[in-house]
Amino acid sequence: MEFEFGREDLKRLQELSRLDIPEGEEEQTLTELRRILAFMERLSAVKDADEEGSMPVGALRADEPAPAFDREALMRNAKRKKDGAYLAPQTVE
Amino acid sequence: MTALELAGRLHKREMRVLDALSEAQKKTQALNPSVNAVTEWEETETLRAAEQAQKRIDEGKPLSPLDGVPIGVKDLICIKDRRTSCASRMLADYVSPYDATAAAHLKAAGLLLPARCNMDEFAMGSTTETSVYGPTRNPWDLTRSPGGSSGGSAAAVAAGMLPAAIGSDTGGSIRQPAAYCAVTGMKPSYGAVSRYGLVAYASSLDQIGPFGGDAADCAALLDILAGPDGRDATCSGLPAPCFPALSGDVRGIRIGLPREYFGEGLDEEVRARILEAADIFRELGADVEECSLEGLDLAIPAYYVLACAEASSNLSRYDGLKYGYRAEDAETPDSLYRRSRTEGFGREVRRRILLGSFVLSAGYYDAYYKKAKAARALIRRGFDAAFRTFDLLLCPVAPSTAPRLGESLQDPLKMYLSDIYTVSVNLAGLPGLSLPCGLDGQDLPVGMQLIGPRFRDELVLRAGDAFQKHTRFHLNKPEVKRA
Amino acid sequence: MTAYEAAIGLEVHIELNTRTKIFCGCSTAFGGEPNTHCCPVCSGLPGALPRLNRAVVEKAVLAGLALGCDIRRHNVFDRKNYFYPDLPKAYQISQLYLPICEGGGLLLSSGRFVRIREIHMEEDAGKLVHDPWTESTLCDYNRCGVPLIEIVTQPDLKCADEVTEFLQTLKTRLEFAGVTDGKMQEGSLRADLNISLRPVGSSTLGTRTEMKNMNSFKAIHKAVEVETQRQAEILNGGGRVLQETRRWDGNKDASFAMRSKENAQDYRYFPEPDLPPVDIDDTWMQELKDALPEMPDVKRERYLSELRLPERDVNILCQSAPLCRLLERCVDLGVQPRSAANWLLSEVLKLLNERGLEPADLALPAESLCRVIQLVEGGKIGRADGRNALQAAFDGQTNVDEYVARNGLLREEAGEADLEAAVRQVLAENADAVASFRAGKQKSFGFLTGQCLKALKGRADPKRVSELLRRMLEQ
Repeated sequence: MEFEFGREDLKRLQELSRLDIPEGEEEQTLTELRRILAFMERLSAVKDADEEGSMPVGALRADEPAPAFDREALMRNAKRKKDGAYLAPQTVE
Repeated sequence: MTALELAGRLHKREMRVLDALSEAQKKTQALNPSVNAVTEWEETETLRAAEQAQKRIDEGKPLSPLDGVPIGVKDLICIKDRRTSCASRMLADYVSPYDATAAAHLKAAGLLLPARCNMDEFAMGSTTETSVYGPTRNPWDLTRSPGGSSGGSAAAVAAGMLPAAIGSDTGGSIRQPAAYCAVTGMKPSYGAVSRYGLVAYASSLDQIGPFGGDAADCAALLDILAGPDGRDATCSGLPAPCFPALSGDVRGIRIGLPREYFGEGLDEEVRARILEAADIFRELGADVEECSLEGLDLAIPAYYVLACAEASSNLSRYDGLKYGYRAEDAETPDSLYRRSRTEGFGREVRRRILLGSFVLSAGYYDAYYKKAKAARALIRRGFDAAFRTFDLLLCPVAPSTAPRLGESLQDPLKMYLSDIYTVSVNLAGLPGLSLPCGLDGQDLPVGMQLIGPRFRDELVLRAGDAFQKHTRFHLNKPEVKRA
Repeated sequence: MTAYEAAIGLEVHIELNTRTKIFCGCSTAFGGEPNTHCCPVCSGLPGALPRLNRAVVEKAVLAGLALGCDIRRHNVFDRKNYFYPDLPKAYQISQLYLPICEGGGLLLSSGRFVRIREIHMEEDAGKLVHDPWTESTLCDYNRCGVPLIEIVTQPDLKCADEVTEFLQTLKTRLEFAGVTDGKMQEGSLRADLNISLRPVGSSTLGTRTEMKNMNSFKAIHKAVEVETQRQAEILNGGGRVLQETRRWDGNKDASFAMRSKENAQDYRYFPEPDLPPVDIDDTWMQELKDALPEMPDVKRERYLSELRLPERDVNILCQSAPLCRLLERCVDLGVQPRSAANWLLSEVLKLLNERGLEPADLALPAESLCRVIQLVEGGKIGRADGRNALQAAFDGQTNVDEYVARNGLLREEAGEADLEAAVRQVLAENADAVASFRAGKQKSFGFLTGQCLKALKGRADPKRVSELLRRMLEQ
């Protein structure tokens, strides 16, 4: 049985991920995703389990200020800046 | 020459640091056009570092057993003031303003970092064919892939360009290329090495690890890389250093062969090489027996659900606004994001982001993400059970040897399935060592995997080192056909 | 026509007053040049990882204790994923599944108890400013990562007055708990209003609208009034209220529907893999319970019974944690509670108002205030000079003795002979006052004292003068 995943689902994912599918690749992407998701269905047999703590619990950080990070260095990879701020296209409220 | 052997010669002053560096550069220049393992070679700072290393060596004050050795670094570990591109158009011109903790450790140990190693884009891939710099070719057969995603690191060491290199492993990205290229590569226990400055793919699975000429190289490098870090809450370091534990002795060590890992789908030659290696361990005094390990059939779906979910979130920050590729003339923020991301990311990355968004989306979270977490817990418990009887597990790294270039990307699901023996180790956070154990009928390298309990990295390396003290597989080097 | 009642719930964001951000060591100071309080972590650079600030957990717990909540001992953070230019990682680290506090609430003066559903920790987003020159948005991440607690109430509030009373009480209690400075103009408190109407007596909630990020009590009060009115008109006209987010326009005293896209967000929450769970053990829990400062209701009782301050003064003082702190410090330094309260409520509050400041902005050291009070009450300087010295200290010249010396404010003490001469003169010139005093009118004594002090031009300690006067009158 084919996994139910159609154009509308794909569009929704694109929206959530802020990604477009280039011209002509939509059909193939759909097929690929369907196959992969169908394969992942075998997880449904697993019984729900409680997450055991597996991470070493690191000590929390003290409320001590760190030396200020140089703004020039921090922002040097930004393509568009003005007066020390990142420049985005206008947000619509 | 292994990294430790080179270091020995440098520290005994039989060879000068600048000469070793220059040799590495020449070798890389000669072979890289064929192999494409290295995508950047930095000269100025490295020369300065080399001079300082020589000075320290002359004064008899090396910073570490590897002071002065040049190595490669996978292009997703941030190095201050160096391009850190993740082999992606998205970060093609990104220069990091800070050092990853691991990079800082390497520098503090005196290692030279001239080379950036090629990789799959954002570490998503098993063949190093999704790089914006073009594929890396396997030095053993230039028509084949070196594996991935740390294919460049493995190939650089295999081809003799550099004695060692650093990579990262999320689902097998160090161990599998090590196997395909006949080098030794280690994925440390999760939490051994700081992830601060490792560009994140899947946060709960990623680990930085070493490639070297042998297990001893890996142990020496791991001791430099590992350690708790105030900047990474998931990092606790290792309880004991690994290099001093390389006693060469495996007598009485109980090694399990999980039968599920030797089932259908495994290449006959690969199976044969690994079982031969098991016999060698028996000759060395280890107890080797079959065992059962639960959860293998869930490993791939669990891995891809969790990895893609985390990746979809980790990669959301790439939007053209703060750094990286920025689409021109976008009129709204959303349009800026969509176009920058669609144009900046390659196909495999986009596919995994979409998958990740799906498994986290409303209505599907329980069916996929939660179930994947449950599967993960099951797999962990399976390993815990095995390690009650056994000290180590021995199994294949990959179902076959190196695939041909261009084959794998046609069928993404098939490519994902080839990670079958490596992903469960990441899911459980265990240490995994990949080391050469022979060749198949086509003279392609076969690698075997040693898996240990969490934070018993030194035991895994000890076993690998003992194997290598009594065998010569790791000394096989390919004849690289020049372009 | 059906009678409707409002059901109002609030989501209140409070900035915690830690020195550094929740997940990195950058400063939380308000203002500053754009992106100068930033680092790879809070700016979302590749490879950066969060590290939780211990003080954030502690202040969140104190807030919960101050509001009567149950404290969750096993805490987990979650990622809330969405794209917006003020969110550099494109996810906010927050708590959805296991928030740090649950339950609790506040009692209003009407007797209604407003229940809190939960309190969780999260990080603040950056600031966006429209740039008309380039028709773009300027993004400043200084505020990214400033620690917030979000307090979510049940929809128990019924009108605008209740909402502002609730918020004021909440703000005051949290200031007394020492977890926030309450500076509204700096954005320390912002509220989202969730408003719906239902027929009186109905138990089902109606459709609600949301107004986000309100940061002035005046605007909140108006917005609640206007929105409940708007919804009532729709319902009475037979229409349906749309579930939507609305933007409040303070200039027009009206709200406007925002693009409905806002409402269709799928945040894809999942547990934050970069942060281990935070476990609060019994020892730490007890430490925090012990560390909770005295709450305003308890302080009130103590000020009335122990410090014997007048009720009117206590009511004003107990609305302001900084004033109380200053008062208690002065009392510790030996000043009479009444004098301290007097000076705080008359002079200090006046200075604050004149400069358009809030008590939270007080930088006046208690030592300076005490010195002024000591000098004035000891007769060493006149009250008017005392006020000037206080103002100078308020504005930065905190060394009071230096100020007094530099301006020559110290009274020359009048000699005994001068004192006697002055008193004798006053008695001579005011025979009828003397007579009425001798006849039993106490008030005349005060009059005569005043006259003496006037004659001495403030060069005498009032106590000495009245002693002398009394002696001489008895002669």
